Amino acid sequence: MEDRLSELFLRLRSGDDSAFAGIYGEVKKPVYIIIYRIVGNRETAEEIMQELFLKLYKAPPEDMSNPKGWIFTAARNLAIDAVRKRRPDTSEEEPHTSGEAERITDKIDIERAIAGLSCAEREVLSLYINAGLTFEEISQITGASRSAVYRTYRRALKALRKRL
Amino acid sequence: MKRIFAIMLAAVISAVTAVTAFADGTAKYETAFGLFEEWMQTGYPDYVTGMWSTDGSMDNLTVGIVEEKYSEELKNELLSLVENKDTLSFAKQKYSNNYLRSIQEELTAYFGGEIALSGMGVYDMENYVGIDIVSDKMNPATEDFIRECTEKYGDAVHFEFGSANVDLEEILYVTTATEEKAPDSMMWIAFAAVAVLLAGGAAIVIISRRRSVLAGADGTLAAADSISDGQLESLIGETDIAPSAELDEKILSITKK
Repeated sequence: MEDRLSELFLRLRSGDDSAFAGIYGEVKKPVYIIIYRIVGNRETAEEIMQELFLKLYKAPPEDMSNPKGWIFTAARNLAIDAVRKRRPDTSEEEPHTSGEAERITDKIDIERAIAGLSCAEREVLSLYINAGLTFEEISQITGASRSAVYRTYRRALKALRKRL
Repeated sequence: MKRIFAIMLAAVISAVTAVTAFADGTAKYETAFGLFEEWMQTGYPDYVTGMWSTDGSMDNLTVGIVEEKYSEELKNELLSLVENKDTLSFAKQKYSNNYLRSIQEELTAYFGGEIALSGMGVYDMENYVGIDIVSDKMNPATEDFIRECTEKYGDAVHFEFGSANVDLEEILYVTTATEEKAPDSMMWIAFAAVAVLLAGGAAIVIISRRRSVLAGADGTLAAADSISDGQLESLIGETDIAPSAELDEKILSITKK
């Protein structure tokens, strides 16, 4: 995915609009999952998706060395900003209890269990499993050390196992 | 690892097998074992995936051939080298043994570092590089290593997780010492002892393994626990959460504005 994304980013930067659809197709699902799991509702997740891809279209990154890192970092930052704006007194670690997850995936216990994890845990799980990033890459995106990311991941799996 | 057993068995058999002249004068070897012996000396051709016992004995052997080279012509060519043609069988496989060995060579650089590696070997019959991980010492570097290996090599690598209760180096050391003390006339007994000890060691290793898992295409692991990490990861990965068609349309229309 990395090579193809790099090529698409380069094409977009050189003015090839058709590359935009290619980028969107490549990353839309994992990016959406990460945003959704951070903000906890579909409406906000959709707004952030639009903002993210508008930003990408208007000003593609100059550094093409890590397009996957760029897009997931941007998605995460926008999602966290949205959570802070909406709930200024709530820390990221507070359990997320949106009913939206239940409405969308009411037959899937796992989504309910994930919704009960902390924001950091949901984020690491999504980046590792849904986006397929390594702990090293997640560490670069979140700014936490690789071992801290790994501990969060293990803690999240343990918590999920208890809830299922 | 299996290769070690194959080589040791080959050594045992070769110690009691005399070189034979062949009746028709065209075949180079009496049985498939002759072909195996030669390839042990010269290395496998690139089209060979490996060679293993067809029925548990060294009398009947199977040659694995890579899919793209597998043909009646090649099979006949190999059969023409063997007088007792019934002793040679064929199998179609994916990866050349030389390719698997190159992977193994590349990955041996990770021994002794952060990665919790305990062993590695090319498995001819299974057609992959088996990589043993010490599950008790699992750490982020090892998880990244597993994911990166899986992304790079796909099903050419296979991870097995267990406790490192058996020190293979120790077994090899003990057997080598036994071999050195053995008188020449009893050499075959020493070889047999080596084979038995190695087989015993392997059995202990297998019994001590708490779980044996296969890395999936996405690097996730399937394990045998009640709700394993692999099962959880699969559940999380298979989520239905996705952007709606309306959102797709809105975003893709950005370029038209």
